[in-house]
Amino acid sequence: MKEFSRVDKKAKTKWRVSRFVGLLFLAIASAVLLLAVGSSGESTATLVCAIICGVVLLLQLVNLIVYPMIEYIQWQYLVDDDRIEIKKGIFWRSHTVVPISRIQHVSVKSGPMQNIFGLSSVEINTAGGVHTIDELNKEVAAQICDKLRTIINLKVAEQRARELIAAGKVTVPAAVSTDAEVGTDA
Amino acid sequence: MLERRRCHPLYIVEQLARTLLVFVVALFASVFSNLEGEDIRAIDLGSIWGYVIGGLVGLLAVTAFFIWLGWRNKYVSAQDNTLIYESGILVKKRMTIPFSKINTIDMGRNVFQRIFGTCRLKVDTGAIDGGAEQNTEMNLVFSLKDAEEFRNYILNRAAQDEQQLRSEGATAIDAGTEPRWALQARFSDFLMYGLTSSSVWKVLCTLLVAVCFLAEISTSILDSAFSAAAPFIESLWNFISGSGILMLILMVLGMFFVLTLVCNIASIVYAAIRFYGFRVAREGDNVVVRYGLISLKNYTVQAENVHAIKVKQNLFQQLIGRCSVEMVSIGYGNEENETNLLFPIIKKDRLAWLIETVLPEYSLEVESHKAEKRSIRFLVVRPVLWTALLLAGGIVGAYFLMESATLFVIACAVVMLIVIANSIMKYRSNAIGCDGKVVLARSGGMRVTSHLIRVDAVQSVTATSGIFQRPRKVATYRVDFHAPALRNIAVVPHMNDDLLDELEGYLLK
Repeated sequence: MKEFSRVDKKAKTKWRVSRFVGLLFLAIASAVLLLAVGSSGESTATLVCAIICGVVLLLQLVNLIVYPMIEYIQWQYLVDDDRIEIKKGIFWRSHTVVPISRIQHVSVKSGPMQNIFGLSSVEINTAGGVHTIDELNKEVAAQICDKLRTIINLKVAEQRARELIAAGKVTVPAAVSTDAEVGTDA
Repeated sequence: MLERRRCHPLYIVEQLARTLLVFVVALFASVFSNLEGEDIRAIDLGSIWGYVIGGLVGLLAVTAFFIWLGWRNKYVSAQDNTLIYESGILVKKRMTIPFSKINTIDMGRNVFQRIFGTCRLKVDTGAIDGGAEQNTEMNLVFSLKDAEEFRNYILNRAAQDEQQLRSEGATAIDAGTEPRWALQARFSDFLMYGLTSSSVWKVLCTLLVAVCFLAEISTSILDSAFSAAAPFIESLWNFISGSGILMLILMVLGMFFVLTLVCNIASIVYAAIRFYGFRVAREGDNVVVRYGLISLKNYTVQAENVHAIKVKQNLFQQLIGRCSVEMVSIGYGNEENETNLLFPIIKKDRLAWLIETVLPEYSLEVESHKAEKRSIRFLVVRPVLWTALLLAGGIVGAYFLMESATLFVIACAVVMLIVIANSIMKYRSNAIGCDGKVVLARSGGMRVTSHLIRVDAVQSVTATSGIFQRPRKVATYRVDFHAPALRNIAVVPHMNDDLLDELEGYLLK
């Protein structure tokens, strides 16, 4: 059974705070819009605007109160010796598998809101695209980065050794002859 | 070693012609945008031509000088295993490209280059500079002799290196010798390609856009055209209104048939010109492709850099059992009008032979999982129901708004039949699987695309399931692989959700 890790607990608060800021902006914009349309005296247009603004604000409110709880439960990741797995999504849940050997580089990013809560995102870059593990504790993100760097370095060294063995530039001790055969095949 | 040399002087002319084209387009755009609804005939062109021509000549002279300076400072040479490209007027740039990192050598020739005996030499490593923009390629014009010399030198040295590394026989490429072509296109191929790829709908849309554009720029032109054609249109309308509905349908079908015939003939001629002499070969570790009558394409792709093969079939090609094959490799196929074709059209039973001969690293015999009965709900029932609902709403509306909704109902029935056929075909074609070396991802209804992706080129696999898919244990798979563009993702919708573990097992081996 695979043991997936969850994002940091502070992520829920961070999501709520950042979405509350978004809600405030939306509320101000809606109020300005309603005032502008209402002053024109068009009652139908005001009603339509009020309904649209109400729906948008309601959705943002759900996004603020309900979604962080679901996201915290459903956003999971696994960093193993040979792969990274990321689970994301609320309604459309995705499960991504990235083999470690395909990683080109790893970077850690943190925005202003993440900095306040001591959170970071780990970006995993492959030749096909970018995969992100969001809202990790800064220390955990650094640990993942270190772990990935060590694994990637090992894989690269292993690959180079295989190439040298295949080219016959390195003699292989008898004790690891099985590996040498694997190397030649590769 | 190949000594340092400059591009062919035609490079200056080509660059200048491109700049001139930009100037002319910009000029016309500015003149037309300032018309503001005025009639073009009302403008006194004589008063502005002097400034226009003077400004254009001045700008061209300055541009020509800088292009010439750029040409003078552009050099290419080859030393041991490295291609050296120097450029820059004030800021000098020296790019060294190891031969082992060169993915594609493209020697395409357009009409002008053929007249002057030159050719475009594009060397691409496929590296990405600055995130998205590709500046790591060399794209210059040389005399044909120089370009061939460079190409053969690079390929021979790369083959020797590979030979040293593997200590086995890698074939060297002799300058001037033709490769042993595995397959050459014949007239029947052009005929089949033309018949199956003609796009009547595109022609109809183009006609519509052209009429709208004419109406936009000058209503007088359209008015005079309509007044000239008025008697004909009137008599045609009288004939139509006098005939029954059956006659009307027959006439529409007849017109469509004539248009299809014309489009097909045009398409065959286009295919014969575009793919004239299409031939493909395996030369050592490279795949060589050449084709073209007016504009010649000649590209060499390292087989190990071919990360996937795309087999495409439209409806007609499915009916006659043929398909077109493309390669997905880094360094070629990322530019506009640049398709990394392996063969434009081939019989499905010959495809296995072609792949075995030219790219034996791939195999068509991949055991795959087809869509199960639980996917029918998502692949067939849902799209058919949604379309039926939409069309039913449309028909109800038409009965209230239109005098006679018979034609609309017939059109809706045709759309419904197309959607049903497309959905069933999607269900039948969907497949995903892996044999340890190659991942197969097939999807599509009337246009089926099969991706054969080398396992080591697969970067990630994602299974996404929505709220309706999860209870049915169905997911949509996205296979992300190393390709020149991000749009190259193989998507197989609505398959069993337990296939991810199996794919993961193959990826991690």
